[in-house]
Amino acid sequence: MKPSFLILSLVLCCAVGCAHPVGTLSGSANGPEAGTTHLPGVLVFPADRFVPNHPDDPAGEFSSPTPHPGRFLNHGWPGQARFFTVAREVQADQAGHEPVPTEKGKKDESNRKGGSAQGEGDQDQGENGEFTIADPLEPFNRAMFTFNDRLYFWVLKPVAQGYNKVVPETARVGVRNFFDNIKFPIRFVNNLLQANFEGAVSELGRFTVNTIWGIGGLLDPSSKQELAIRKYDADLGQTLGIYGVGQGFYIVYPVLGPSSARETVELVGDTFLDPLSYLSPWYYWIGTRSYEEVNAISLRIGDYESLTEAAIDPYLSVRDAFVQYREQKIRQSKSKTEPQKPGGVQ
Amino acid sequence: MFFYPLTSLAAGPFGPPEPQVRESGGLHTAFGYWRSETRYENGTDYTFTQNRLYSEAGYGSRNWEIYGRIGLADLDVSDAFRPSVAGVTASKGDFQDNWSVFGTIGGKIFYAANETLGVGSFVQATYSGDFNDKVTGTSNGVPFSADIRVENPWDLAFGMAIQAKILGTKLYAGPYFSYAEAKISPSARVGGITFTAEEFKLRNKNRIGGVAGIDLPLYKLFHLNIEGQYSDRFSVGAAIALVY
Repeated sequence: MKPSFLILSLVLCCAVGCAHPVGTLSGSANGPEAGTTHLPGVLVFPADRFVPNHPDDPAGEFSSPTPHPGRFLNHGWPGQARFFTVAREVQADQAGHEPVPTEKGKKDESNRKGGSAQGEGDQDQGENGEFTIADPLEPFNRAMFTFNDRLYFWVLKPVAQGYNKVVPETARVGVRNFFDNIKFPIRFVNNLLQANFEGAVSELGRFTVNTIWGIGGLLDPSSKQELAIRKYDADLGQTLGIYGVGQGFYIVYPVLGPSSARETVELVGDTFLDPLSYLSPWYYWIGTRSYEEVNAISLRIGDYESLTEAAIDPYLSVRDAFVQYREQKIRQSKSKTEPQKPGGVQ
Repeated sequence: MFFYPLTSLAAGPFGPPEPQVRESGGLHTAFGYWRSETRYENGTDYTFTQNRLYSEAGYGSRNWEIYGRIGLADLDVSDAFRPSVAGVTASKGDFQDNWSVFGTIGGKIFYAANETLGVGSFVQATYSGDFNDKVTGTSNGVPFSADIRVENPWDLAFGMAIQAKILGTKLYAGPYFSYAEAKISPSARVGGITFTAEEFKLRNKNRIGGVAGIDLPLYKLFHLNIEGQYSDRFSVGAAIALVY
């Protein structure tokens, strides 16, 4: 399924995190501050937001007192934690790349905005290697961004808070694992389409182990340190990108969140592979998806709020991080040399 | 209502007496298969055959464990509809039904005398959903049709076993006591066929049996458990467990 507007919150985490430059990320002498890193359009974010899960609990199944971003990366919904993931990728690659200076990042940001007003077509790569995207629908997108923001604060967050109080965290993590496991066909088929047979076999192994020995997917034994069956997150948008299809233009859907022309095709295609899509009648599917989203929100309440407070322009931050994240995933899939991550995180 | 003796209506595997958990305790899950054959006789022998597929989850520490199973079971009673008098015919001979849900809960405690030997005791209860079948035929030329239901089959078992652990492999054996009961309810009373003549309850006659098994460590956290039980007839099964 397409990323919900909650991806906004995660991306804004990157933006707001700039207000709290703390951490131990590998930096460069030319970087603004040691222990920080940049994304275009995003201010500095702190390394401590990307603390990996405990080695004995790589999937984050057994609760720590507060949820932390590493856990989000286990969520199977394609868009849920993508922006934390891109931040991790940037962190992992930091040693080999010069950081993006703030002034240059801002300059590119204004160029992109100008470019979108002129109606440029497909994504473009900036001078410093950043990926950009045309945004001809910016007024509409900003309106949808605001709508999604209100929907979160007025509806989803109160519901998730009540759910949070009633259901223990272990159970909520189990629900998250279940939904992640059931979306196996999306990852499996797209790994095959990407000719990543190792990924396809690994996903099949994870699904088998988690379903049979994980009580129908409620537990995630595949991510245990001893088994460490790696997760290969793949979706149709990534597949199309690998085959050379550009992102197209940027669009923000109500409820579903940020997307692009290419990701919209993913939305339709992966729906056919999502077993939950075949629930009948249609309101069973809507209800199940809504429950899945509420459960996911309950595991990260507070992050969105802490991010929006410090963001200069949350809309631009979300848009840029979305583009970087998607392109980063495609580049990694092309190289098929994704670094090892704890807890089956991809 | 009459009671007919039944050897045992499939107690199900007990597993090794030592809990299947890490040293520090925790969870285990398993997926298994169990095949049982039982016999009852009241002048006529009937063999009850069951196949069970189940998923198990357990939690405990080094010295105790509780577990639960849920799965699907079938039931085949050979010659259940065999006429016992002349003039009665039946369309089929065996009672058969597939895939009724069953549930099991159990607990065990364990004492390790040393690194090699230990002793444990266990208790286990199983309850299955009803099994249904239909038989038609004629009785003195008059056609009949009857739905037969095996209602509320349940059993309770407890026992103890001695375990020897050699290079991570556990060998165990011991006696057990089991009580099993089920009710046979025909929708129509037809004389000449035991299962349609009247309502009656089945109980196990031979309530003492023996269990033996082996638990082998497999790849990483996986274990293979193979177990056999004998109480008039032989039952056997295997399960692959994952220790968290």
